[in-house]
Amino acid sequence: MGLDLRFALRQLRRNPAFTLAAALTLALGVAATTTVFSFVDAALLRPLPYPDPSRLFVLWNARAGTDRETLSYPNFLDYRTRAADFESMALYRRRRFNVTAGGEPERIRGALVTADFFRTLGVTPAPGRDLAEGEDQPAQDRVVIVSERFWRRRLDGAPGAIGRVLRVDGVALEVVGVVPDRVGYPSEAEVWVPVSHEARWLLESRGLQGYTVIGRLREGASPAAAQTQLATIASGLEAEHPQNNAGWTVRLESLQSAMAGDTRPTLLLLFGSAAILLLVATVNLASMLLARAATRRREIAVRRAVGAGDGRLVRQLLTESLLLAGIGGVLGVIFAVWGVQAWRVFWESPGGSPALVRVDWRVVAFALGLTIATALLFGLAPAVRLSRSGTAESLRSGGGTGGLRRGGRVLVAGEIGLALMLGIGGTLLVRSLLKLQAVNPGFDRTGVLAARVSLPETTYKEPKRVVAYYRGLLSEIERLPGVVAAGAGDVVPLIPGGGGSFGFAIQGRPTPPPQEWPIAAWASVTPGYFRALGIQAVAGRLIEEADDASRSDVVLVNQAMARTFWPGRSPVGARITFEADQKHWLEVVGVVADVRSEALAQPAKPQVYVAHAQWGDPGLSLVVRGVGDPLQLIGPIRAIAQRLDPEIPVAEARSMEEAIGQSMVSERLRTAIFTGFASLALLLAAVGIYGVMAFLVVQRKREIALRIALGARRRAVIGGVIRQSLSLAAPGVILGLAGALAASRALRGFLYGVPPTDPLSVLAACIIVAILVTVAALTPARRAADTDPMHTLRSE
Amino acid sequence: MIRLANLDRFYEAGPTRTYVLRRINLEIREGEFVTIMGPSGAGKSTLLSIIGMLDNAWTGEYRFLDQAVHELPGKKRVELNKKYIGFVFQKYHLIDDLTVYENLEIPLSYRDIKPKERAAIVAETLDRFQIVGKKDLYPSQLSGGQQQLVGVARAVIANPKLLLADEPTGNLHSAQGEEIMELFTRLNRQGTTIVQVTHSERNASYGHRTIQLHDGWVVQNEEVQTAKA
Repeated sequence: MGLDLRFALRQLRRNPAFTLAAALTLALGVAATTTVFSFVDAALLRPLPYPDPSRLFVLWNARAGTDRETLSYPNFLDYRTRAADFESMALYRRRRFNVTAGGEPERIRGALVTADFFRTLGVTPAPGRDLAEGEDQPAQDRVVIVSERFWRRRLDGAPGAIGRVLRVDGVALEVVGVVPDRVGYPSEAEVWVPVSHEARWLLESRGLQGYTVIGRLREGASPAAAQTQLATIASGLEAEHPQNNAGWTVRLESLQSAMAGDTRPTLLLLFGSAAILLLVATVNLASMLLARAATRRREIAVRRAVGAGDGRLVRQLLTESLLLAGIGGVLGVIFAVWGVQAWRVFWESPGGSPALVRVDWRVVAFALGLTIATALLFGLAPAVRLSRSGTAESLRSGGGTGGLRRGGRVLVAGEIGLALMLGIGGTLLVRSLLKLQAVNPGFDRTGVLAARVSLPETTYKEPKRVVAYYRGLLSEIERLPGVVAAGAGDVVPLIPGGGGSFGFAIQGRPTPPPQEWPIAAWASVTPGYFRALGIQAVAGRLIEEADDASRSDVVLVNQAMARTFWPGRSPVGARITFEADQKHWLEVVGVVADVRSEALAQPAKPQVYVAHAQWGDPGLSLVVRGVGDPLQLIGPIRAIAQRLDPEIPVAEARSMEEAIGQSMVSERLRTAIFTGFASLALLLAAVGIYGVMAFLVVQRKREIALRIALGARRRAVIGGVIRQSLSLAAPGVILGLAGALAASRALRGFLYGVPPTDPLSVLAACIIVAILVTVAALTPARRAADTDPMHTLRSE
Repeated sequence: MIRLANLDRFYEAGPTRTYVLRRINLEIREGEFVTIMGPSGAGKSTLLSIIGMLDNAWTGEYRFLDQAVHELPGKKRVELNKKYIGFVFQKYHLIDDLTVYENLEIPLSYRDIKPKERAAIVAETLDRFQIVGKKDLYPSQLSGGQQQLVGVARAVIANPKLLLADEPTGNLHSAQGEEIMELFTRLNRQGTTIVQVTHSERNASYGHRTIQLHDGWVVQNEEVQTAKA
């Protein structure tokens, strides 16, 4: 074996160009697959970093048409009391908090949690302690748990930080524990605050969902039995509180699956594309080895003549393949480490933490397995073929190359087919992204700044105070030089968070039971909101300064809502209610243009806008239109906010251009990675074509020399070689088209405004392949045209 | 040692068969030095390949050291080749990427001889063929004669009973050729059976018996009258 290894090393060292090309080819394939695998592993495969993770579940509210809704607090309390199959059950709601740890206040991601939240997960904060029982009740709740990251960043990572007091939304809370980042949940949370800090009315409402419930099953309890038990409890709650619970049940989902969330299809798509790239790299290597095999037939024949059996020959050749694969594999893992680092910068997952994504022993083992598998795949066929080549014949003539030519053709066709499949996918995704970027969001994005302001409910209890604060802030901002308009709303288009969706009824129409009311998205806005975002009134009027608590409540509806509920007539003057007892009605005073608020790909849904001055929501996003770069306005706006109340930070400032960009981050990332893989695959296929054509030109040297001697022009020779390369690629193109057609269903969910069989994208990909094949064949073609006929024929 | 009976070797192209060897009946005794001669295309090299078990696509009977080769599967034939036969080629056929030392080591490694023992045998062979100074050179750094010397050393390093040589001096000038033939004679005297293919009457005169082939048929099989000392 040692001798085999020594010879293999010698072979690779004496052919550095081949070794480098082969190792890099494999490294690209291994790196792509390993990088994506790191994410697949973290999100879908690796057990969560909690004890007995298979016993952890999320309880979702479900009814016809939706199965991933959160729960209300009172319902959670009932499930917790009644579900005997659960050892413990806890709840959280993601929120951002204004946190002051000495110095400037900072807006920080965190969660409101029940006291048993970390005990349910099986996490013990250290240093410090967990929330004690009862610390999620008023009066005992002046405590907070922070993340390791926050502890290092803001509390100097000192053990003495336990016991320090932070001001969280204006309330002094004592830091009692630090949670290691590895086990922090939900992702990116930096502070965990007892749920009792939530507004009382939110905790008392059975109709207001918004809390995610996690539960740990008792040892030995089966998820199916627990599911049945929860369904029984849900039926009971439905009977007890039909107004809020009618039609709802509870569905269990493993915490692992819930954390992976919507990222699963994207990860699987990218993993599939990386696997195809690896396959292309493998096929490319096989064809390179096959081409090299032609030059090694004599050597193999000699080895056989001096006593080598089939097994020894295959072993020798496989040792070379494995060594080559080993070099490629090591390079691949190095590239994968870089790839993971680069990707993590962009990664956002609803549950999965980027901290969990790493190149660890599992990932390395995967890469190793992949490397060995590919080495066997690309090495075995040429090895067996070589070992079986006729010894006597090879010794006499150097061996025939018919089999090699056939093998090379088949491999190149396969390679082109796979690369074209990825190419078509890539062009479809690019076209889809371009269409998405061209979507009119319904507002004017240029020159607009958005930033979040949250007034703590503890210090801004009365709506009047809240309204006064925002009026003061906005009027001062409007006076800033360069500001055209300033407004605020609890929802800003394409920026996640805020608002909500509620059922409503229309006065004068037959009213179904509340659980069957149609749903409309709700936004609470100031008058300047529409001016700042450039949202036009289509009928009636906009919200005005005069629409305050002293006047009857008004509401604007968007065109989608007007079309759906008042088809063919104006809704202005109609009255709607969002309350089941139908005591409180809002008058529709205007219709505004549709805005794509959730995502550019999603058409506007029915939406209402209420006057902030009539509701007094404490947390709003500022929207400010200026004449220049909107980001220049952040400083002056922060200065005003600081002057009005030093404890209120102005956070998450970004331009609306940026917000639109961020709303497409996953589409962009997906498209970039997929097209990156597709480009690499096409490049490898072109290299493959080059290799085979260079080989064929050498084989045809005599024929080409004869043609030139008989008067063939240079152009004709070049044309002939290029035609031959295109005819080599043709079966691959057919294969690729068939493959793309078969895989089109997998891509359907990722496309916007482009069908998965879009002829333009398919044509574009085919043209790219044709150009690449032509370019790849050009050098061998020129070499063929440069053949000196006299010299070649004489030496023959 | 070798007994061939009614041995045929042919190629099939569609319905037609082209014979390379026809009804070969031949016996070679242990210790003989036999020369196969004949014009190009007579089937000399093919016969040598069949005797050396590098070519298995023939019909008829072949007995080697009382083993019925025609009844043996391919693996067993490789074993026989490995154990008893050494080859010398006209084009030397050394492995370009290996040094002289490594080229000599290769046949021993295929016979599963342990590294220490291998090293001793190679050292002894280098010494015997007086090529110790060349052991770290690659074939491209040697002259034709030197390469063939290494080729012969490689062929005999595993102590074969039978040495097959296909035009061993075809690529050498006369002095080098004579040196190789003298070497063969010495090896034969030491007990190695030798079968060589050659066009050269002079080389044939080193052997005991000459077999003439023509169009695949054995047309003459006679003892050499005056063997050169």
